[in-house]
Amino acid sequence: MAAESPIKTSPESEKTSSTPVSWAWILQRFSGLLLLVFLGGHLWVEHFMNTSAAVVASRLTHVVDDSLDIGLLISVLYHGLNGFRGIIQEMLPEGRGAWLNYAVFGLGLITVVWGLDILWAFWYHQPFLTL
Amino acid sequence: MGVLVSPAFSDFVGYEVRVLTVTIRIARSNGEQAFVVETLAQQTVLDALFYIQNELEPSLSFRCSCRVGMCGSCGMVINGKESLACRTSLNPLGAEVTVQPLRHIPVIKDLVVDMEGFFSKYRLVDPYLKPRPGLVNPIVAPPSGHLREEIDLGLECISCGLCLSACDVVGMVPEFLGPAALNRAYNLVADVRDDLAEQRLSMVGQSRVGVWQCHTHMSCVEVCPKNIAPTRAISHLKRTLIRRRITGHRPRPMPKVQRIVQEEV
Amino acid sequence: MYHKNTRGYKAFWVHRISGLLILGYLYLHLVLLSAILLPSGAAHFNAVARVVEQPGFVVADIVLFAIIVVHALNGIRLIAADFGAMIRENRLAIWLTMGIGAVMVFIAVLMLLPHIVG
Repeated sequence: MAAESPIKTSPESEKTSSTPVSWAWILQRFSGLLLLVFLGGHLWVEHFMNTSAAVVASRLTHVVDDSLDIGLLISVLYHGLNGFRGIIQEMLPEGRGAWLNYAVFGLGLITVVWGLDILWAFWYHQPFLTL
Repeated sequence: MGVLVSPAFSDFVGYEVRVLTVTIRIARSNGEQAFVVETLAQQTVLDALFYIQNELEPSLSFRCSCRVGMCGSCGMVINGKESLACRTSLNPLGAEVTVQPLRHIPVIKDLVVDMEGFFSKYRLVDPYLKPRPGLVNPIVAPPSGHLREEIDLGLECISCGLCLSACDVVGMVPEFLGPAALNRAYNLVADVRDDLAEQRLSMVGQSRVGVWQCHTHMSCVEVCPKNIAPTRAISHLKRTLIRRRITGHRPRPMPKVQRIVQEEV
Repeated sequence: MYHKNTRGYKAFWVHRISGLLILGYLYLHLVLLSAILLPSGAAHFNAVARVVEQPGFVVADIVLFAIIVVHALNGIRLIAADFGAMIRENRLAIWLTMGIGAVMVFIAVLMLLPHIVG
């Protein structure tokens, strides 16, 4: 590196987001590609017609169906909430998004637990956390 | 379109001489003003603006210089598309033509904009080559070599500001560097003779300011009068930054670059 | 006052709004599935399942599928652009996404038609 570099860089700017923006960017693309598989599989496996709790429970005894649903839950929440976070962050002034990351991460965590609880109810015929 | 004026004259000059009657609506500083202009079909919007200034409204302000699309002075938004007035023929535009100043940079008067709004962003990436120390003189990337191939694609920029005006991301996030500056930054990063790749990459890697803010509208590609694709340059910068993020910060190996340049000179 | 936006800008807003709609549907989906979390959940779940098989809901499903297809195909176009592909051919790329999307939605309509009219 030239010592007398004329370019001023501000690494602080990258730190305004707790996730470095390049990671958020590449994970958004990666989760989008995963969703093509998971959501495609979800729509293909589920016929949506004449379904019942018993049908879903028997489907969810297969490990492929379980991984499909868990993978879909996590990737769709990452992709959707990270996109939502980006939209809100863009509307906020520079450097005002720190709370947003925690809020969206918390929302995502709660939703993952919610979704897993629904799967749990099908696996063990009663939810781990009841309404 | 238009009325054929004189078949004999058309035969004489070798093409059909038609006269168009065009209403030109100009978004001036003090509001919209419409002018009805009779013009030859082959003429450009810039010709019509000169006609308006000479004959109808002497106070109309616009900027131009070379009249052949190489200086980048007469950029304006014509019928909703950022164009160089000197390279935009009136014939395909129809009977109603709207002209407005470039967007996202301050208007000084009528169609004249403050290009400092463009160049202040351009300057942030230090748009000049700083040679790497230790390279043999003269430092040349030969026109036929593969080193030139990559940088040639974006080298034609005339700094007209059309891409910045067309970029709606700049409208949403004013601190975004915009297509021209990022295209220039990529050109210098891709240039093996340049010494400031690391600094340029950390400049364009910042959130809001840099490449991650680009939403791939590709409006810049659509309007560029030199057929540059800044979106392509931005995608290269994104991939370079991602590669660095995954593999760690590794400056390009100097000995190899030196060898290539020496071989090709 | 005159400005007219480019097709890439319109596609950007379609992408954003469709994404937000899908996120909203995701939560609606979880709320409906949460019938299983109630006491004697299977009965509630089956009752919800009978309701969402009504023809009106199947039509809404097709609309949802169309929104997902638009978002997915446009996303593929954007990822291609991030790899430097189809940038100068953006106009063609957008027409392709719309064409392929229309075919996919048409196939979905054919598959679900018995549940709407029958």
